[in-house]
Amino acid sequence: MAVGLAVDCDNSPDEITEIWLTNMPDASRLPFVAVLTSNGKWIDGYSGFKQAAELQTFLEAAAKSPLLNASAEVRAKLAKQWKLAKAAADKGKWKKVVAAYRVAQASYGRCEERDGLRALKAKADAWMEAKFAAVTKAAVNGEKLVEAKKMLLEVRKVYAGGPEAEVATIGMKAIPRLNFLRKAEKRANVKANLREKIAAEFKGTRWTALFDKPTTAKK
Amino acid sequence: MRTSLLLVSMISLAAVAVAAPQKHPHFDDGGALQWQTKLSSAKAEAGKADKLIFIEYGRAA
Repeated sequence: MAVGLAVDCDNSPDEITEIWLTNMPDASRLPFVAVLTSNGKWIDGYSGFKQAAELQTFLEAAAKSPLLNASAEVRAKLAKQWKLAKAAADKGKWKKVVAAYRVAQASYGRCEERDGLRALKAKADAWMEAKFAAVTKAAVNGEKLVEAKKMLLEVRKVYAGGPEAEVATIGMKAIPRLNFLRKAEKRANVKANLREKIAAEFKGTRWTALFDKPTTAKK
Repeated sequence: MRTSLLLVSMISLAAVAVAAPQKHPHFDDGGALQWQTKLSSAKAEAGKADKLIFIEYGRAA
């Protein structure tokens, strides 16, 4: 429902002080509380203590503010994107779905069309997760990784410019390291803890899972 | 302390899936909200899912 913004009243940024001066110039009792739209427009606020039930009523009213709704212009723009995205999703063209979702992200306001685009983006994300899971499975099963690399490349293209593409890129870097490891482990004089050391190169990413001990022999 | 009690009451309203919640710098709100300390960050987070920005302006008790 909300993202919290905690502000120390003894060290308040000017932009926050301006919010109080503009909307609650006479406020004096802490805490000051306000609810804004996600693009920073004032909805409502108060100063001083409120009982929990009063706060709940305040928040529920704020959540119904018409300021949260998308304009007719935005809705028309998103309707077009939604239509395009639906057709693309039906054909598994996830790049177009992601592109339409990104157009929606550049606009503001709640509406059915935005919800629809979010739902389609979620389907694209599910597709991506399935690809990532398949890559990990292939690695852990000791399979050849050419197809896995192709899958990551595909994800990278679909999400070009986004954080998901970065994840795919790191995965693509992990694959040659795993191939190196596999060859090294065939040698009698393999370094101790080599698997763990290479896995550590990808610490903090999902791709450490590629270096889990293989569950089957190489195919 | 009073603010803490107020925010705890928001738990039922905060129907949000928070992967890595940031705690309020002054008190424990029981995980009711994910907190930011900069308006720009709050806008970015709220914009991802059409959420409200809830400003709490006070000091540590």
